[in-house]
Amino acid sequence: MMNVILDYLLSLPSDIIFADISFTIMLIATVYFLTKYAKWKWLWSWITSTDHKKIGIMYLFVSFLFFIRAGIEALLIRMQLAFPNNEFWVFQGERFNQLTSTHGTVMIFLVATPLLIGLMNVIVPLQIGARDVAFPFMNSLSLWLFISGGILINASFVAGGSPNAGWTTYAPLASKEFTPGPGNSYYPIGLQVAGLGTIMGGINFIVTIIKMRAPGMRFMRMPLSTWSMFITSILIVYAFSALAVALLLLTFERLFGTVILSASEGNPLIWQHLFWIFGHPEVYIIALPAFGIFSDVISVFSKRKLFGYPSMVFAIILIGFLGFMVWVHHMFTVGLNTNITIFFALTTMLIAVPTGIKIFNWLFTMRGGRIRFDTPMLYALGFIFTFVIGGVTGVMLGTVPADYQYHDSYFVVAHLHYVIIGATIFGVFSGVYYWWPKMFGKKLNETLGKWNFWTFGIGFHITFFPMHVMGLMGMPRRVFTYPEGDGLGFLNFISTCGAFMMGIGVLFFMINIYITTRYTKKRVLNDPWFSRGRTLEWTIPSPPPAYNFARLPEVKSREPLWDAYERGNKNINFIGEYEDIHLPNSTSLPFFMGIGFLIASFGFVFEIWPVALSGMLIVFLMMSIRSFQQKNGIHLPKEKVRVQDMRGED
Amino acid sequence: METMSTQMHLNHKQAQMNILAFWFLIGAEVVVFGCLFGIYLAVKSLTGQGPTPNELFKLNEIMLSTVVLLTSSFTCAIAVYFLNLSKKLLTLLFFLITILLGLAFIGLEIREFTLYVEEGAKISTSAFLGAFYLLLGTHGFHVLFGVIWISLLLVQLWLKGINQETAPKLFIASLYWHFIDVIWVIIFTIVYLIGKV
Amino acid sequence: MTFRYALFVIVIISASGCSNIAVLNPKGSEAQSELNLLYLSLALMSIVLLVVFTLFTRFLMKYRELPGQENDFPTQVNGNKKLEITWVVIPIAILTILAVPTFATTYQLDNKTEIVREPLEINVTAQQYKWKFHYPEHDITLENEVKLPVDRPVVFTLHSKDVIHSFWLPQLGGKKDVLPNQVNKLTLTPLETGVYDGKCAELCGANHALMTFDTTVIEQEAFNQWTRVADIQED
Ligand code: HEA
Ligand code: HEA
Ligand code: CUA
Ligand SMILES: [Cu+2]
Repeated sequence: MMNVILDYLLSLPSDIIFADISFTIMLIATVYFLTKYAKWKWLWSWITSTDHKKIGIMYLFVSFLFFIRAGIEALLIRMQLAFPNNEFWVFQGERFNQLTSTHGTVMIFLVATPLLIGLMNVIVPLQIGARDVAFPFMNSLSLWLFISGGILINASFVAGGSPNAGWTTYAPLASKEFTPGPGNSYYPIGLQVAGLGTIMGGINFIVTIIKMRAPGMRFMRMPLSTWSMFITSILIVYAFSALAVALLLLTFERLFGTVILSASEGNPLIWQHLFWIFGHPEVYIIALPAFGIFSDVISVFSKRKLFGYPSMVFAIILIGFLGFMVWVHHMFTVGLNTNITIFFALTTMLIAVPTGIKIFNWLFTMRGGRIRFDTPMLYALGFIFTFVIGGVTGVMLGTVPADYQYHDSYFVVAHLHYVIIGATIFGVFSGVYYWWPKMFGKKLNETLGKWNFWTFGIGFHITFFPMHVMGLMGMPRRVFTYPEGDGLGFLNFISTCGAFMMGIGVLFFMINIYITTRYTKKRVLNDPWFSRGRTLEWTIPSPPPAYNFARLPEVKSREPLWDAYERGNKNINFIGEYEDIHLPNSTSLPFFMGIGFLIASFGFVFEIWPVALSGMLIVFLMMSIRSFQQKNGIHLPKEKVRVQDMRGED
Repeated sequence: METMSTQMHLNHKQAQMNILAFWFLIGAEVVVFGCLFGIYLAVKSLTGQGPTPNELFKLNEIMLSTVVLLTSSFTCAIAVYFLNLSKKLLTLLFFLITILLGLAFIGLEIREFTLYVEEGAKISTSAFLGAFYLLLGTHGFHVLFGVIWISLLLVQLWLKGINQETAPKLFIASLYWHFIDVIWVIIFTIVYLIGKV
Repeated sequence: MTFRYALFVIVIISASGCSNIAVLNPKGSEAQSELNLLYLSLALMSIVLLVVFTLFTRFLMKYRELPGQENDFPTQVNGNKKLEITWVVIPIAILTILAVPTFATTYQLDNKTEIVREPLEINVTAQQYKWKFHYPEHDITLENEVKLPVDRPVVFTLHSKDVIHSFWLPQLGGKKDVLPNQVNKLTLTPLETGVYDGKCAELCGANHALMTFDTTVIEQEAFNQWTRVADIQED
């Protein structure tokens, strides 16, 4: 028996053995430390928490783990491509396609989107003066569905093979006929689970923002972060529903033998349309919240009011709206009717206008200000620089005949990283540095922050700038090798060096977190950024109490806190009475539902129906329990709230 | 006494939020069905070796399903009427009729599908059939979900009576039920009626 | 920052001089019109970049907080209607300048198949990791290589036997997807003799990277000679 297992293990390819071993080591280390420091209870209290701040932090943490993983994949991609005709480890052919596909899929769905949702969770209720989100239970469920789908897609690498048809998973390549392994079943099923969670999150935030704003917080007084996250939530609800159908279709295609996407009997282009009807709004889903964060950050660190607030809001709405009408620009070379192509080229170019409004408003916010260069601001400035380059290459991609050349070449790879890293990743870094004190009561180390920014930022340009030229040299994307000569090797090598520099940048960030957590003393200041915050989150202690606001804040303008400072006050007025506060119970049901979905998904991927069924039964059981649960929650008597609040004030 | 009224107020707000969330859920569902209709229309003519819509559908039987489902919508509306009057038993009764009709609809649909499959029209036979089963299956699944959901709510209604907690839930469930009905009417028109001409 | 931008322009322009950047070194009329658009858009985008980066650097230098200004709080401004209108109107103008030739070229390229006279017809069949070129006129079939006469339009009729591929000859013209369920046509007109790389640009499986073909453009005379020899060999 032992021999059989040993033989099986030895027969595995070395990369899988490596992944297994490193995973096992990490697991053992985690268990060891949790036990050593008696932290299991503590962990459980987080897992079952329904506090939006904790959920947000968990979102951020888990997505960061996924970021490391997909980042390491990126490094493997870059190693394989460092030289012409290179043969690095096992990453050629099929294995390389798996790398590329999971890198893209994980980065978009399990890194960019949830990182922003994490920030959304932390700050939206704080910025609108709410005690929680509208549906705390559903919020926790969103988190666990995301984690469950994420685990599924991450596990695929060692359990049967990863998706290998690109993050876009075009049919018919993704159908069973051409990729029979479980890899491409992981994709629709894992994303379906995670996507369900995302839709719920979207609905949750829409309702939170519409219904739970503090008295006086009118729509046109909301901070830009909240505004952009509001529009993003709406985009999520509609775009992810289209994705859900696309994924359902692919699942049926692979598991139940429908032929809708098949080459001979159906029409594979249906997949492309559905995917991009989702896909393009998705890129704005991951860009808009970042725009919001930058609006807040630039305004605070320039000590200036945001220039042209109404037009900023208008621009977000317009971008969100136009975002649904440009999807065909990913399909210019498919051979569609020219009139259709032209229409979509026009809408694509139009998007540059509202985006330009935002860029210039940011620039003119800085004008006449007193610009400080703290790390959040550095990232915001890096964003403007990088994103404008990425944006204009986007417009170049929109010029149809030229796109016949760029399409599916490294030029597109360059564009997409310029906009995504420039907006989303820089935005998340900016937001995390900015709100870290709010989340943990400590500021991240500024010196390390600057190292983090400069290595990551310069590494970024070294990595991706050459890709524009590589694309023009005729290097198609998703290739694991390229021939010698042409000077391609040189550019690729530079790019690989840059990728490692970005890796060092990420390491600086991790070191920063470690050092800050370990060695920095807590400073429980409400408003840690040179005491000139503008929005409501800076009016309450850091970290805030579970109920955020002991009394409801008075909001009479767009920037209540700044205005209070201008009047010489230390904080805004809280007008609400102390009252008994109702907090939701913590609950383990979402966690178990996540497990149920995980089990079911494995059942579906490997088409073992009893497993799938039992997973679904767990989910259903949890749902029924939930529907009969008493939802009284915890009551904090107002005396206690008052005492806590008084203590917080000095 | 004061806490009592705030509590009610809270509940009231919670109900409002639930209803708003529900409308956005419906928005999402509209996209889902919109895409499914789009797929169906795109591949309707790709019947391959399988039967065409015209050969496949038997309008009489589908008329029956339609009547069943429309009636259920009607009884559902009556149930809500009694809900507003706080008549527990009548509410219970009419919701019960509603779910029974829903079950009947599902039964009819299963029968229809087995009939088709026996005739050799399987989900994998042609793109048209794939899209057809996908669209109708999704709808049928929604009906099933509605039946289960309302049943669970009815148990609660039975145990707790009509109150601030059960009433909004039943109200939302009824909206959901009407929505499924509307989808069916569209399916009936686009798939069956147009398929027949 | 402007420095890096200048670098960008220098790289692109100096690169266009050397022959190894395929797209910037076209040998076909379609590739040439695509390149013209590339240059037009690059020029317009350079204006945008220049404006943004100039303002960016200027504001950063001029308005940065100097030591001692930590407690200095500037006046607050809401916005400025005139400025805001300016940066709506000017981008629209720029985009219009870009859009008109874009649309014209798109129509021209997409409809070329119908306009060209006496084109050379070639049926291209893509199949996982290889290209088959069939000359119906001469009943010649080549694999992973294609011979073309110079100065004569070629209409490629593209079809796939399995998954989606994409036919790309960077120096002769942009790409067109090769679909299994639809026939696409692509017209290219080589203007210079030489050997050009062709590749598959759509991920199509494990060896997608290796799905390349050589394109040899030869004088018309030589081409006729070649087809005649091939014809004779057939008999
Ligand atoms: C955050 C994500 C993000 C964002 C914000 C954008 C923004 C834009 N994208 Fe991008 N895009 C992607 C992510 C993103 N994209 C990804 C991931 C892909 C690849 C998918 C794949 O195939 O894998 C892609 C691919 C892609 C393509 C398809 C290429 C191809 O495959 O052939 C096209 C084509 O039109 C395009 C266009 C645009 C345009 C016009 C914008 C515009 O929104 C940009 C607007 C911004 C500016 C223009 C700059 C600021 C404006 C001014 C300073 C005003 C003045 C400007 C002018 C007058 C021009 N993108
Ligand atoms: C959020 C989106 C996102 C992000 C952040 C990135 C980040 C990076 N990407 Fe990715 N990428 C995509 C989204 C993204 N990418 C998408 C959508 C595609 C298309 C996929 C497809 O074609 O289907 C793509 C494709 C893509 C390609 C093309 C592959 C191909 O076509 O074959 C390449 C090639 O170089 C690449 C490189 C990189 C690099 C070097 C980074 C770097 O920025 C990564 C930086 C991060 C790290 C380097 C990790 C650092 C961590 C450590 C070093 C920690 C050390 C470890 C421990 C202590 C345990 N990406
Ligand atoms: Cu064929 Cu890629
Ligand atoms: Cu797009």
